[in-house]
Amino acid sequence: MVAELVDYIMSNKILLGISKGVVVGLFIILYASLMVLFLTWVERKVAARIHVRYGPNRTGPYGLLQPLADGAKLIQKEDIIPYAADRLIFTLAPVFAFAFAVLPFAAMPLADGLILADLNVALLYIIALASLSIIPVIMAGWASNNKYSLLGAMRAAALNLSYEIPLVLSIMGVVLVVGSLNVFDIVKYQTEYIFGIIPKWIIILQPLGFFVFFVASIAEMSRIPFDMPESESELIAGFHTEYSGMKFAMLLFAEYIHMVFGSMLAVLLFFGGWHLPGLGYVLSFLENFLSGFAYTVVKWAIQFGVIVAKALAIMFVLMWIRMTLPRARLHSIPTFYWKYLLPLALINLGITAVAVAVVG
Amino acid sequence: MKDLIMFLILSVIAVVSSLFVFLSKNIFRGALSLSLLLVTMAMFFAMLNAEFIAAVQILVYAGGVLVLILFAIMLTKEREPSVSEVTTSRAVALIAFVVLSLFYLAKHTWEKYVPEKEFSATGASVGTKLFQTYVIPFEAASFLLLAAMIGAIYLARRRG
Amino acid sequence: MLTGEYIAIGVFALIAMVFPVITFLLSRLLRPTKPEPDKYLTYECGLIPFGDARKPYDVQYYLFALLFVVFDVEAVVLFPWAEIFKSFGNITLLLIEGIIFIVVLALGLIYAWREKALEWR
Repeated sequence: MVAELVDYIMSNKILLGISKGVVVGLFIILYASLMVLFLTWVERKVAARIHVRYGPNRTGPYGLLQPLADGAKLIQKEDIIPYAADRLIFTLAPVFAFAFAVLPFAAMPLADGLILADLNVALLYIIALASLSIIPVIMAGWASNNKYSLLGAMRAAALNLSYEIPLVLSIMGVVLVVGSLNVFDIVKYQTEYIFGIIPKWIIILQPLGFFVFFVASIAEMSRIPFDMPESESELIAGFHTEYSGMKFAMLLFAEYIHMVFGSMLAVLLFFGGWHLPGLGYVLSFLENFLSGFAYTVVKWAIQFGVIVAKALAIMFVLMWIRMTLPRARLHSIPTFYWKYLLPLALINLGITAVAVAVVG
Repeated sequence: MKDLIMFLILSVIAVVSSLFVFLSKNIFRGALSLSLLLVTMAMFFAMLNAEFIAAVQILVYAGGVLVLILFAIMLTKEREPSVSEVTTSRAVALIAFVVLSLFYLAKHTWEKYVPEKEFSATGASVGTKLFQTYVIPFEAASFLLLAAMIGAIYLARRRG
Repeated sequence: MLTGEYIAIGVFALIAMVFPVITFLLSRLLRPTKPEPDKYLTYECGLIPFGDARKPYDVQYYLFALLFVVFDVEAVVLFPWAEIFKSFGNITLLLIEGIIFIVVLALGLIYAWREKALEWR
């Protein structure tokens, strides 16, 4: 019965598309939301440890239930829309902020063969959707009709314009090395070995590219030292000053999802995705015991776990940076991106092109 | 069949959002519905198998040009337009619409725009075309971009 | 030709937009609503708000947006170049074509630098 249903869905392109969208889509939203809840806890715990404090430790073991308590608090908060605000756009902004934050995940493989939509131009789609995330921020800032909000939104937009070109150009270096815009191909490329021992992760081939990518994606996640949109000592809370309750929560969610997205992209493009030396042996060992479908599920779970673990390591570094560095001055940021990071990205592109042409 | 249904849904969104662009008195809301229109256009391209163009449409227009338009709005002082101004601009838009659609209908027929099945514009096929057949226009485009950049800097310098 | 992949993305986009709306509705059931005129004032550190927030901004923002669009187009045009680079027959020719394109735009960047257009004031 179930097998027949699955066969029928697989044979029909529309039904397959819809069911993929629902099943994988819900999984992505669940994953992103849980990750956000977990990250708010991790961030506070890491910050506390670096400050030699305890951090949240009252709700549940190690304070692990703190995010749930925060959620329960936020959902009960009164929803306040200022008189001066544009009510429609004010309400739509958090909706779009959340949607545009999760949509890039659609073209991101979560494991070998597990993807919502396998596009030819996957990488370009991911970049394009990620570039849309600035629109809800400007919407929120403008609709609030608050000086701090609008200033925060304008700064966010200026920052967005500055980081995006170096980000795109550093990703192009990866495309040059692999010769495909499909993220599956990029990860597959990284499962090989150099001299039989060193995994061929692209960070080894593209260290300069990764540096540019990493610095640009810190801005993409709008985190310290580049958190211009909401530098709280200057702008109260930036573009979400006027937001409260669930609308505020959605904007916060979107921001943390950008962090999950950025680190997952870094893992897929530069750190070998789900590849881990020795994992292949474990999987082929498991294949002896498990049959087709069960094996696939276990394999996906393991590979997804590897991606998440690597992503968490990157997120830890991001938190570490946040706790260590001061906020950069507004005036220095666009200058830094245009004058230093962009030429660096162009140089990296040139070097990579020549190297690929010579080595083949 | 499903293509037709999808096309009709997207067309309704595109037409309504473009009408809103020009009927809305709030210029910011107008710009936002322009972004909806641009994303819908990208979906049309995706339906025609032109995936590369679809992604470019979102990246350059919705992500780049729209921010440019929003900045232009932020640059200018917001004021309520007078009734005669609104009437004039709507009349101009209407005339432009009629003239352009007549011009279009005179040159094209509908049957031409049934997409070919085997046609697909992925990055690779666009690249092969661009670097084998259209190399000179491609390099000329870089000079056009250079000219645009120099012009922009010059204008902004003089005003600022 | 509408492929299943784009249907999947469309369905996902719908779900992603419905999810926040559901949480808003859920919170409407749970939250209090006690209207009070002062609550709905624009927040300005406790002072009475003055003037309009939507003031004209500096032309600087516009200049950076223009530069951005130019480089965005450049990046987009270079993507097909990067994708076919490895598998292209005449790789030297392709390399020269790409380098010329990049250098021409780098000239623009140098001009912007020298004109101090990259300085945020």
